[in-house]
Amino acid sequence: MLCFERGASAPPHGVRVLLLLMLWISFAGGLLAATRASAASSEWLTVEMLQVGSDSVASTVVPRPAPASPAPLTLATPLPKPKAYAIHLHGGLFSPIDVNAPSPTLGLRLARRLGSHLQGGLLVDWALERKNLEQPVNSLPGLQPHLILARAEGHLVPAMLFVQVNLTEKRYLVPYAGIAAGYEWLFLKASDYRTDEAASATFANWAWQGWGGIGLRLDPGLRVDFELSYNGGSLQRDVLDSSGRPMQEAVSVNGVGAKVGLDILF
Amino acid sequence: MRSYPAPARSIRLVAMLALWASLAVGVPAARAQQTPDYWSIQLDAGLFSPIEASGASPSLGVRYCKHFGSHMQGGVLAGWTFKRTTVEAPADGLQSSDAQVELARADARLVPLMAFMQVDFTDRAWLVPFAGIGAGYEWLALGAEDHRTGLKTEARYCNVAWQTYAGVGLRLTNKVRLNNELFYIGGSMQRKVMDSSGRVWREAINANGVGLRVGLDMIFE
Repeated sequence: MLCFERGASAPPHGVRVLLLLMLWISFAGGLLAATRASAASSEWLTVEMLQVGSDSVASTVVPRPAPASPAPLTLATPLPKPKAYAIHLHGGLFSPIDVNAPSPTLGLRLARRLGSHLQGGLLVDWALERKNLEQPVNSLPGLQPHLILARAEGHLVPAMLFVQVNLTEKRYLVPYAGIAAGYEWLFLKASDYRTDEAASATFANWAWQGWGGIGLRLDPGLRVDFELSYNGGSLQRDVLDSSGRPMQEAVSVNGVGAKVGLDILF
Repeated sequence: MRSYPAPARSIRLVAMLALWASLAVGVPAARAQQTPDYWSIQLDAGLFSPIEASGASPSLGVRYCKHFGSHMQGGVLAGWTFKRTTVEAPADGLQSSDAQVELARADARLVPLMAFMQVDFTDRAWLVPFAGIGAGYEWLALGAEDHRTGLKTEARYCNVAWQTYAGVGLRLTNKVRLNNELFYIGGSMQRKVMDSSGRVWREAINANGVGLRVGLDMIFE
């Protein structure tokens, strides 16, 4: 999992990644600007489509009185404002390719609608990987206690900007895909309780994510999403060797994940 | 394990879970401000089988929640699982050949208390698929008695834990549903113990397990 590189060759890689990222963000920004130019009309259309295409039958469970006669729609009566923001809360498993063990992950994506099919925003995740070295305690039948002799754990935290495309806005099944780029941190901590030794390290670098999935639209403002994701990145930190020479230590955090989430418009 | 700065990690974990849970509950709550105030309670019973212990154990539980719209609900769940394990030997004498003498007994009680969110995938069909996830705290109480030596021991373990469940509900009336579900509980219960030299270590029990339960879900205003 750990690989070591001489510090002298590292900066160009970082610069290249930064340039690529800027290029990508410029491209995404341009695309969004072009999309937003026609967003207003699309949003009006979206509202109508969502109202018509709703699967919700809240009225059967929660009856609401219908107006005696629908209010006339004039230029003076504005249409209801569309829900512009969405929050996506998800949980699942993330499995780094170099570590053959899935880790639990939680996260959220806060997005603003940029058009009828497009949204962009900020995502934050948290994945935890923990390994214990344990020794069985000879005791009673049934559940067996273990003494923890040593423990290592890693916390992976990405914070990224993203764009996501929903391939339909009115069907019950909503395929979607997204891509994100930003910064990622990995906090490693290890403790050996037998020797009272503890060590910690923080790695960070630019990283990216991509995901695709299917959502089940339960009502116009609520969707249950099932998605597969990929996280790509090589997180680094600066270290000094015994002779005082600077080196860079890197951890590959490439991996795949499976998540289930709720997408809520508000 | 030494009793040094371990609490900080737990606090961080709890804080992150609390933040996530507050978002998970707060956003739907804000979203559902204009909907009528509906609540529901589920009383359930079933079997739970820890992965690291053989045999299934009876389990009881309750879920109390608010409805955020017609598909989503969130609230608090609690449960109680009891597991008894015994060491037995054939009895001597003229009794039936099936008679056993209990040599030792260990009882375990697992009590989760969690915040949860649940999604119903439809609100009009007779069969209602649903799924949910909960996170919170869990306690495990162990009690053991060795009849040969007369030794009694008790221990309590606890830690942050989570559970997820999915199932199908049969809508009996507008307000009553019979839920049948599979669930998974994940958690590593811990306690601090002191060895003979006075060193403090941490002892853990893996309480991961799967179960199934049947419950009656009742809606009220």
